[in-house]
Amino acid sequence: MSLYELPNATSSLDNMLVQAIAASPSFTPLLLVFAFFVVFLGGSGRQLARNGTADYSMWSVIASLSIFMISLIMSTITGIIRLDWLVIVVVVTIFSGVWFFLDRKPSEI
Amino acid sequence: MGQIQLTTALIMIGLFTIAILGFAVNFASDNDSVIDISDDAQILSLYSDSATEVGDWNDNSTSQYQSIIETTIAPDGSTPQSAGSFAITPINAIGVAKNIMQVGYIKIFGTGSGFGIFLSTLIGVIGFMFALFIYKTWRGIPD
Repeated sequence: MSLYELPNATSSLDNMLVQAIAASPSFTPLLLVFAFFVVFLGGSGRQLARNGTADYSMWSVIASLSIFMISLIMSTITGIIRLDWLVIVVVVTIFSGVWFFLDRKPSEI
Repeated sequence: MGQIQLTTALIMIGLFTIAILGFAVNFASDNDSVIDISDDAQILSLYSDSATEVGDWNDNSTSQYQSIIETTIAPDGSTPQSAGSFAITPINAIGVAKNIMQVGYIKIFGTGSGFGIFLSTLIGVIGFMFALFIYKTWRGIPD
């Protein structure tokens, strides 16, 4: 008896992904959260190490746009992402933009 | 952050929102996506409302531009008696930001949450800043 059901690998790679998400629905949001923080913490951390300061709002926008693009690609296939998750990703992207534009210094209009 | 920068920031927020939503809607249309962002009525409404608000702001700024360049200050150095020259930006600019914040807030926190004081306070702060900037610019008091 196997520990878990292996996905059917004879159809296609995206079908394996759909089956994995059907078995564990939280896979998609956690993947997006992971991608967001890889870009956000990675980018701002390296900028901080190099320059002594980090533009967190800019990295937030970049990280949001990254997961926004990933979500849009996911939205072309049935069963990978739900509409409410896509809407939340869009809202997070817009809020990152709000933070970014209100965070500029006077010399950065 | 002065009045020019704040107004620019608010309008840029509106343009950013329009760009993001427009890209998402057209991406879904071009690729026949199964999950289409335009299936969410509120997001679609935010898209059209933001475009309308930014368009209205554009019209207002064009019509007010003439009055701004024609504003004169008397030789005795007194300030203008009306703040009409500063009426160009706030209403539509605040409208754009308010709409975006409201829809975004509802999408994440829902409509019945007691956390609503956060949104109303934030919008109140934006309105207060605008009023103060206008007053200080009008009176010539440094920011």
